[in-house]
Amino acid sequence: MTEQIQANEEQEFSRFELWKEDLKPHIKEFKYSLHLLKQNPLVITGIVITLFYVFIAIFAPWIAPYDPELIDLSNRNLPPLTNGHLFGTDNYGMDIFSRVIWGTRVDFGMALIVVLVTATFGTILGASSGYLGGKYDELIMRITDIFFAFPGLILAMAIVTVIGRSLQNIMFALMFVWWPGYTRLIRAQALAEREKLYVEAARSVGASDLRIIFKHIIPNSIQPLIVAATMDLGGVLLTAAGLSFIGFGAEAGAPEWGWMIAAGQQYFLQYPWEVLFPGLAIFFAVLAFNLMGDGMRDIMDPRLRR
Amino acid sequence: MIVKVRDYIIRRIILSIPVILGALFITFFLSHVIGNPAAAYVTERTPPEAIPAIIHQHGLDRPIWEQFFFYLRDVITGDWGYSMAVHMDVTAAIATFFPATFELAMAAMVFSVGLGIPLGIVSATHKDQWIDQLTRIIALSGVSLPVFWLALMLKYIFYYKFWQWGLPYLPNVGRVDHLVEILYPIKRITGLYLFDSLIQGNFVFFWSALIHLIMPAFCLGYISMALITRMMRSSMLEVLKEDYILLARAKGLSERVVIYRHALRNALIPTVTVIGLAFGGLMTGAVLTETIFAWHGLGQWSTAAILTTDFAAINGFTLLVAFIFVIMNLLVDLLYGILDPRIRYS
Repeated sequence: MTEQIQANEEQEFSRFELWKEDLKPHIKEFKYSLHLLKQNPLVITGIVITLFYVFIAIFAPWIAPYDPELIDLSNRNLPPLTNGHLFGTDNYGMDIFSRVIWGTRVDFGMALIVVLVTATFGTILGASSGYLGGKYDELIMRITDIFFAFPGLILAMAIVTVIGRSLQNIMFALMFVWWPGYTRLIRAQALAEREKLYVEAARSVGASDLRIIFKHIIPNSIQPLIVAATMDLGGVLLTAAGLSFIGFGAEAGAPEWGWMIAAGQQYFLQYPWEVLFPGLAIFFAVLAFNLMGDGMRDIMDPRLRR
Repeated sequence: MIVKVRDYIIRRIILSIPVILGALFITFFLSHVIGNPAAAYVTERTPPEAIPAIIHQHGLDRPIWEQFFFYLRDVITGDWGYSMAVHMDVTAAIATFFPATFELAMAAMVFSVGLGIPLGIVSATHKDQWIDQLTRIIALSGVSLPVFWLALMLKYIFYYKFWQWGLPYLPNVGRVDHLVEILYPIKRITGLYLFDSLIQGNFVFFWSALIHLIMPAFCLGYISMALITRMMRSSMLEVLKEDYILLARAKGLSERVVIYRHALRNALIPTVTVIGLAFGGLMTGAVLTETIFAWHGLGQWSTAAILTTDFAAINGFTLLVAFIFVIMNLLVDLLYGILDPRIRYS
């Protein structure tokens, strides 16, 4: 009895050792990536800015000095740095600083949800399409072809016109138009992966298609998607803000950057700060995503390392 | 050889037919399944008792799959519905507004290609020097700037501030000065103001149209310029590593000849695709830019349509953009086949 327990323990122990051995190259790779990261000031900048925005989004209620939707008609159109309004106030006397802070939640939230949902959907669809091939693959590819016939913003416009104007519907429309890119990307990777020997080996020991797709194909083809998705966070943010700017957006008054610019543009020659600050917020957010994506590609792609 | 090119072209054209059908299916789905299709064919002067006849005429009382064929018939025969926002048929509205958008998009394209390709070449040949860093900043800001915000900021500086400082300033809105339009009118031939005024010898009008074009075209072209610059740079760097470049240099050819005669042609191939794809970005950007500059084109029409929930206009605009996009992609692929013989044989 005790012997058996001891044997089990030994086995457990050796399993742990094995696992550690398995992990070693990953740790080494990770350390090397960190080393590369340190040498790339632009990526660091991107990460720092993004973390800053995330911090603001999480702690918005505590950072913002005013209620973002508080109308104060006695303090309309105040220039920056007057009466305790850091970025001034807008046409309704709402504090622009507080609105930009709360807008981080709204705009970051929209971009993140759209990219997460579409990237997940695109990954599963693309990996299964590339791995299974045949008629199924052909069908999926023809469907993505059709979606590529429309620029994203314009199809999203058509969808929101039909289903009604609101921020939720902007998100829904963007999800509807954004997935084909990821599907194509993962499919191309999956096509290359499925020919490799380890997939052949997995199949020959009797692993199911489902298992091969999720355990082998997806983890090995996901790298370019991560880069694309990071950059797309910026693209989605720009498109969502643009849609909101044209008037698809929320009910008036919601702290959303695109809508703030639209509201401020009427009198922006007299009160330029009402447009300046939300625009800068968009610009730095998108810039940060692009910097991160750009650098991540350099780090992940071994061919670009030298 | 010639047969091969022809086969390639035919095959490529046939391949784009299902895409067009699919695009039609999507707009059909949006307008007929989710939306209210009858609204698209009703005008302000339609008496209520005529509505059943309209429903019957467009097959809207038939099963949904039959309606698709009625929809196809209407699209092919040019009955795209009635745009409430501008009080005319959708096809008439497209004919009216298309030249304005085309002129703007072409100007933006000329600007972005004309500046993007040389910038890309220079930054590739001066890799990691200050000019390369500068183009990197230009390119990164280009893909990060919200175009509607950029437009407003440019207006603030080059219209409002320049006017305040007494400098020659750029016009604020519109395609041409109102006074010029009244005093020096032109006949509408193509609807492209620059072209029309030039062939009629009306230089006052031409000049006014030209300075009105600068800011919108710059805004619209900036993003595509950024994309083209980056693509040109990376493909140029790729090509410069090739053996035949090494050979050309070893032969003692001057750097000029190596770059412009040997490397450029091959480096241009991937850039051409980006230029084609950038066109989609131009149509998207036009929606935002035209709204800000009160440019009476397709983009402004479509945003006006949104605010009046003018389904017919949105549908027509979406369909038109899809057609243009498919044709552009087709042209890019054909050009690609001509530039790169390897593609034709695959």
